[in-house]
Amino acid sequence: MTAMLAVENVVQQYPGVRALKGVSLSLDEGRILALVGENGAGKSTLIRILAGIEQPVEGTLRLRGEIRRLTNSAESQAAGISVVSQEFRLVPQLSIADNIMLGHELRTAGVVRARGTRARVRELLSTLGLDLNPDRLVSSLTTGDQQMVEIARALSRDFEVLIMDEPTAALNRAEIARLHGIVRRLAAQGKTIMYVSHHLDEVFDLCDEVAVLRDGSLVHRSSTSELNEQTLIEHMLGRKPQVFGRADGAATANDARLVVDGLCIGGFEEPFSLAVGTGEIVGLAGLAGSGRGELTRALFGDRAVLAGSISIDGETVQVRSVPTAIRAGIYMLSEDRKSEGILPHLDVTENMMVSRDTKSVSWWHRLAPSRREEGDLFEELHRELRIRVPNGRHLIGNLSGGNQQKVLLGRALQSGCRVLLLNEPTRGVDVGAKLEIYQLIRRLATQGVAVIVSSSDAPELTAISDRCLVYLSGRQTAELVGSDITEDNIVGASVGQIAVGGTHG
Amino acid sequence: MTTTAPTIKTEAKEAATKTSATSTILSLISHQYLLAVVVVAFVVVGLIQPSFFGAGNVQNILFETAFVGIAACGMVLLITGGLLDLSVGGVIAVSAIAVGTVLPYTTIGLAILIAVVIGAVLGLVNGLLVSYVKIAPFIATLGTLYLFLGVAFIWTGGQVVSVTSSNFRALTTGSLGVLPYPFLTLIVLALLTYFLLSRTSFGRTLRAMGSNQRAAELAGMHVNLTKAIVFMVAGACFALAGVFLAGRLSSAEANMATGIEMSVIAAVVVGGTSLRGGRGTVFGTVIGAMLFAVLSKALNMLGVTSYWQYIVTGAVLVVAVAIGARRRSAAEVRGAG
Repeated sequence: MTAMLAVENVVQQYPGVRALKGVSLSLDEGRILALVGENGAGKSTLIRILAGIEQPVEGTLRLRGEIRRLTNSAESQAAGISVVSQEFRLVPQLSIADNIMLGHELRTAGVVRARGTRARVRELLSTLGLDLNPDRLVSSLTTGDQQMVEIARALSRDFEVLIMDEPTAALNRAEIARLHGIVRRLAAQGKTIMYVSHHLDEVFDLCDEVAVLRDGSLVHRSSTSELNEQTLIEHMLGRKPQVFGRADGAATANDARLVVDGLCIGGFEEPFSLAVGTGEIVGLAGLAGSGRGELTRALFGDRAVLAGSISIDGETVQVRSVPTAIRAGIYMLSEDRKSEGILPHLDVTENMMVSRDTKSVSWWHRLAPSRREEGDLFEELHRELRIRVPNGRHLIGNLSGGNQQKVLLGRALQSGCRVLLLNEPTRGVDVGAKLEIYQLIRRLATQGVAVIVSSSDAPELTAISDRCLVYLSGRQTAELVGSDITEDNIVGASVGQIAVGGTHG
Repeated sequence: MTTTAPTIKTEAKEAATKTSATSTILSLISHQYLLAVVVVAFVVVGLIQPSFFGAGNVQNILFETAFVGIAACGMVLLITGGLLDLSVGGVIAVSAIAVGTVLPYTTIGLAILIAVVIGAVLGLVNGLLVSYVKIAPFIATLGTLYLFLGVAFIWTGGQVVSVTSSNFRALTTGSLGVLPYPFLTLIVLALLTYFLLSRTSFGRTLRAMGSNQRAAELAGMHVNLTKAIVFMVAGACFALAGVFLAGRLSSAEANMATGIEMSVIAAVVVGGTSLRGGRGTVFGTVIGAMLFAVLSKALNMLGVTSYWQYIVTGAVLVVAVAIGARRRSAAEVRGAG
């Protein structure tokens, strides 16, 4: 049987990087193939080649055995390849319906058939279990819903091959389950599916086969039943994984570093109160609308505080704006690295230095930073944070998600913060880098920084937090400590089931 | 892709081993194609029309380069920061009229200083409108263009203010060998602008702002303040161009520089600075200004009629930007909006 889609010896290069070093991979009809690998392994590059966005330097692409050249995304779509990309390619100013049918509108003599479009879109949305008005603007949707619209858009075309690049990164459990059902049904209908995910449970749960990329080469391929999670991680990393052990009870909050008292934030009725000790990592859990993201923003001066007080090391601080918050010793990293984190035109060194605490720097170097001094500082952090980048003059946009996140953590370090607020610190970050980031966060904490991690990833919170606060619509529903921090307890409390103390059934 | 890959590779290798000086030189070289175009155009026209090489004509070209180039130094800062200023013509007029008005009563130095300060104040008006009133730069400065022109017309009553001081004329139109003072000023200003943009915290904030404003805000950068300051700096640059222009014309009037904003923006863009912001090239901007100066003189000398001059100038603008876009797309900044 000829493969539905096959790439042979594909090579791709970027300035200074060989992203794919001769990868051959075939996809069979009706099968779900998981593509896994660390960030920077070449997954996204391979997807961009299949989507026609990039052309490989070498290698061929076969569709049902026939050699094809895909020189742009329209050709790729015409060849029956549909891609759900990791980054949203939605137009926020257009409605859901317009976005979904973008590029292949239902037309009569050049005029869009509004009613037909709406009916078609409603049908598509209902297969995805989405109860949304097709006329709503995409900009008004939550990230999760936008992701579903992105998926609906891929499904709206006629396709033989569906490529999904981390489709569940922004989805909650129910949505993920629904999506899995749809993917299985598509496979049963004979569609070919390539599924990229960092969530290994998904890989085992959903996919028939798994292919592992590492450093631009295909290092393993087998059916999922032949593997377990441990061996798969070993294939991805090329070594045994380091185990992140939680230092249980090591950091008991003796002196409260950050104390938030009765903080009122617009849109939430109840005020927020919490305390974080020196060297403590506090996890914030909760579904969309829980207020945990808004809370971190309010603490960082990015969202208006209506009432209440914030104090650090016993001193009351006013956070009227981001710069005042940074001066007070607070730093926050956004969950949206691309639009609220990286400065794509600046190199990694500059990206790391933009929030630097310049108290110890001479006035001249404050105005005109010394390249040598910053370069040395970068090299130090480069090694310490294990950022995979050849030198400090690389543009940050060309790095993988995990490495970008490390640069941003470096930025936070340079700000000299005493309180660090992290939103979804490992979103879009692969297994290997994830552990490194957890270790980094832990090390920061042992150095005395009070860390708040706001995350939708329950396993993440169980792995790193000393204490976990769970919110539902702005109200704290649980405070979990030590062995009570389990996935079940977190998930239960985020939907309002109070189940603390191991009584959870 | 196949053809560009080897050069990119060596570039990256060199950048990895050598210091930042190498990468600065490399980035200069990557803009050399435009300089080559200017030189070739200059030589070719000179061969056809030998008087083109005459000292007088070369000086004329350099004068014209200087007027647009000095203003473009301010503009490249704005554009790198994701901003824009259309009020150039208004600022030039007001500051030039100020020079003409105060010259009889004060020293030349003070007159120039007054003009530059007025330029900075007008720039501040733009800056406040954009940063604190939050009007889009395009609209805000379109409005102030008319405002400033209106001020200039009312101030002069529509009359021409003549600049009679011979010392002032000597200072603004004199030259060192073949290089006019305004051109030398441009060289110094361009070096300062380069330093400001690539080596200072201010320049870094500017580039960060143009690259991703939201991320710059969340990194604690003072975005609004920087906007206000950069508009002031740009206003001062425009005023300086106005001072030299007043000397050259030995007069000042309200519509002395109408439409110059387009030449200034064209010089910046042809030089290789993207209107999307994040990155700017000062060297390219100066070459861009020179390209248009050479072009306009060449077309005059070759006896091309003014209607056709529009066609040629427009075509050069479009072609140069198109080539620039092609060259840059190879080394596209990933992750940029």
